Amino acid sequence: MIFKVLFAFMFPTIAGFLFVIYYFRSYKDGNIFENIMFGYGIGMGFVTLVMFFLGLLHIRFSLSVILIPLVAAICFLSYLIFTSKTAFRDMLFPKYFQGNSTPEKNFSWKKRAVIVFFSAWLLLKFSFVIHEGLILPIHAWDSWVNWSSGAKFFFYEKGLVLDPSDEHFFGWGMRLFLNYPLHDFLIQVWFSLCMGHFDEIYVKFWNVLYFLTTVGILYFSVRRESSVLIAILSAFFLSSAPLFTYHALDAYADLTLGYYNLAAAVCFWRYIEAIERGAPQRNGFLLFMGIFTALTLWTKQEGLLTTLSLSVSVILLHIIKKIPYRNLFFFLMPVAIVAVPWYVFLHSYHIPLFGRGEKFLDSGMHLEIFSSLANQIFLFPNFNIIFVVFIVILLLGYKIIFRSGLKYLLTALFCILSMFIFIYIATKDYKYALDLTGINRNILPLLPMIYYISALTISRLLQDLTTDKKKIESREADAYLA
Amino acid sequence: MKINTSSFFLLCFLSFILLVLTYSNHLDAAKSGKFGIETAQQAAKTTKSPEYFLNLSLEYYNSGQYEKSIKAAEEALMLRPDYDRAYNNICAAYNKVGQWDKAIEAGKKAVELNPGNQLAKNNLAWATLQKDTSPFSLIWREFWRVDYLTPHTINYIDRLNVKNISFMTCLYFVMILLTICFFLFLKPFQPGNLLKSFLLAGTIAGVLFAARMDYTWLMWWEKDISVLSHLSTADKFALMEADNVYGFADEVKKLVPPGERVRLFTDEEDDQNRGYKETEFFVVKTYDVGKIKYHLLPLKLSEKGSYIAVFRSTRVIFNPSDDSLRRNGTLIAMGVKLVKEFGNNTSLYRVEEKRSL
Repeated sequence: MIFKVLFAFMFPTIAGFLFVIYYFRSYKDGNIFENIMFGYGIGMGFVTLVMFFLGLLHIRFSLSVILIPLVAAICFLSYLIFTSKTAFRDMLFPKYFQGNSTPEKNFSWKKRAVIVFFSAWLLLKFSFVIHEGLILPIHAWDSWVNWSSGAKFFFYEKGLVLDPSDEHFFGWGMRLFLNYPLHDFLIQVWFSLCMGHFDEIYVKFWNVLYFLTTVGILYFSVRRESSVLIAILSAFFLSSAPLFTYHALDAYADLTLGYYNLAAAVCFWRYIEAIERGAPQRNGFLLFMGIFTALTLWTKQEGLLTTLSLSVSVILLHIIKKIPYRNLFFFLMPVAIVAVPWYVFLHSYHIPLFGRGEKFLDSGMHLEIFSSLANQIFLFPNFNIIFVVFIVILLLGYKIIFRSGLKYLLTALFCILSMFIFIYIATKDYKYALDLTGINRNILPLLPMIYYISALTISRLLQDLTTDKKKIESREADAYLA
Repeated sequence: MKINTSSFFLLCFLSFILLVLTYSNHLDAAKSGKFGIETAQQAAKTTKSPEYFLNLSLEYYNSGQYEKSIKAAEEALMLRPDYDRAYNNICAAYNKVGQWDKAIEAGKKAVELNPGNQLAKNNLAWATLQKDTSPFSLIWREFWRVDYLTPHTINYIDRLNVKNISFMTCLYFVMILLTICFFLFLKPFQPGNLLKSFLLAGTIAGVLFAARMDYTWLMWWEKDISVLSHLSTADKFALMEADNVYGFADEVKKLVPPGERVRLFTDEEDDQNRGYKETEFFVVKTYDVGKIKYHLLPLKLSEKGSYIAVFRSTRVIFNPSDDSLRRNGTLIAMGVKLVKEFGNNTSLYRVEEKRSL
């Protein structure tokens, strides 16, 4: 069975990986593991899209039918790679960009010991998540009723059941909400097709992989900007958040959304960072940011907030930095191509985008959610102590944030948070904030992004300190000489 | 005897007044919780069954009459001396009145009789924790306690607290204290010292948090390896059925022949704080086994069923002496046979005589 699971995620990952290395071939500052992790998310997104279009065309889901476009994509990308001017070896093993990061040789034995200690702990945690993911069946009610129940239905029907006269049209009766995006459902169907049956244990293994890849992407993207110690600590603390671990063991979509949010933020930062360094504009990152943003829309409805917020932030960047607006095309194009079919589909089948048709403020303002929110983020042990650390870091590093491109990432984050809070205040969803069932899960997808921004700010603050220290030392030396 | 028209109408009017008065009394009683107690009292008196005394004990507990709750549970124990749930009720009630020693004694008996009774374990843990008055000992024990964070109970980890001081508050306190210490002892007032002190203290507090949580995960990992890893998926569900609806539904599916209808009862809709009132599953409903091809949780409601599934309900009580099933004392069905008891107040029944369904 384990080989079938391997097959289920290897094939899409290879397709995604080839796409990533082909597109980043000229940048030469990636890392093979980071590219594999990006490839996993893109490959899984590609499978979702393929299955959605097959369902739309009433073609029965089968392994061979889905493999055809996957194999075609792999062949086409391999052809592009081997005919490209860049050597395959260079694409596979790009030179690691050291950027602002500290060279490892400067580390004392104490720092090395700390790094080994946290790496070992992290590996233990990974082993736990992988093994538990392979022995625990789907066990949470929400996870079952929102996603796995519908996925099982689609798997047995071998399609999306798009006949409106059918009693179970588009999974009705098996899914609580017809307007829930399909990524989670279709990935479970894909895993089931690879295994030959709907296995309640292995069918959710993709979430374990999203856990590992999210932590991995955080490590490599922080490592690019900072020392190994800060990178390993960021990855370690993210993996220590209990809710983050818990979601890896079931078939929820929140962790997946967290992965795509982080991947979009990393690409956005690399685009900003290239501009800051005065390097040639790297529109490839904008394109990947667009792809990951679009995939948030396929993962959860909350992806809409991510898309709006990142769009606002990208537009702001282009206005402030006076970058030609045509570059925005690289971001907007994938969002439009990947996400629009889903909304057209919902519209054409008269499925409301938002469940109840309720207007804002119909049920009044619910300011009482603030105490619940504060309780959730500060006093519940769901996310480690990151929120307090994050606030203190923002206060200590506000000058650096405003000076650097970090303000664009923060703008996006605060936009998402503000929209969440507004929705909770102004709709009947406030009860999910008060009864503590929804708000922690809504914060979870932002967690990797918060860890990323915190780590970037900390590394910038520490670099600033080193620069200040050097300046003081040189001034003292000048005074002594004088 | 002849009754004239005016006498007849007078009699009707008086009956109506009597009816209204009785009903309004019942309404008042129901509002004040007396209705449930009265019904439970009557049921306990007439049937003399330990389950009914346990229900009475629960009603007293819910209305804040803890001494009466203990007495009712003791009555249940007179009828069934190995009744772990009665001992658990006694433990919970003694916890409420702060008699920790008695609570510990009852809690230990409950756990001894049924080591799988999680509620009793929690009540016992609470009593033991509260008995200890040393704050350092409390914090230390709380830090290493594992029973709140599990893959199945993560929603309840907000209960991590010592005498209402949250575990997180303790961590923040440690973080602030360490920041001050580092700031004062590591070259104070040098540029960047505050940042470095805070980062170092934050790292230590974060690692403490991770140690505590990962220790719990490790304990559960060890348990899962020894208990779950050798089982088939079906057996895992069988083991976990009392804790998850999906596993329970799968179990029910095996026991109910195709085409039969199952009526589901659960208590969750009464729990005001969870907000599940509007969720379809948590209302009394039935589902068809034969018509739905894939699983057992369609969202359609119907009113009849020849099988009754009781999922984690303390209010639905089966009385084997007259084969009746009652919810809060109200008859649901007669001629009921127990098909399987899953534990954790979860069972499946078959209705053999469709009298009152």
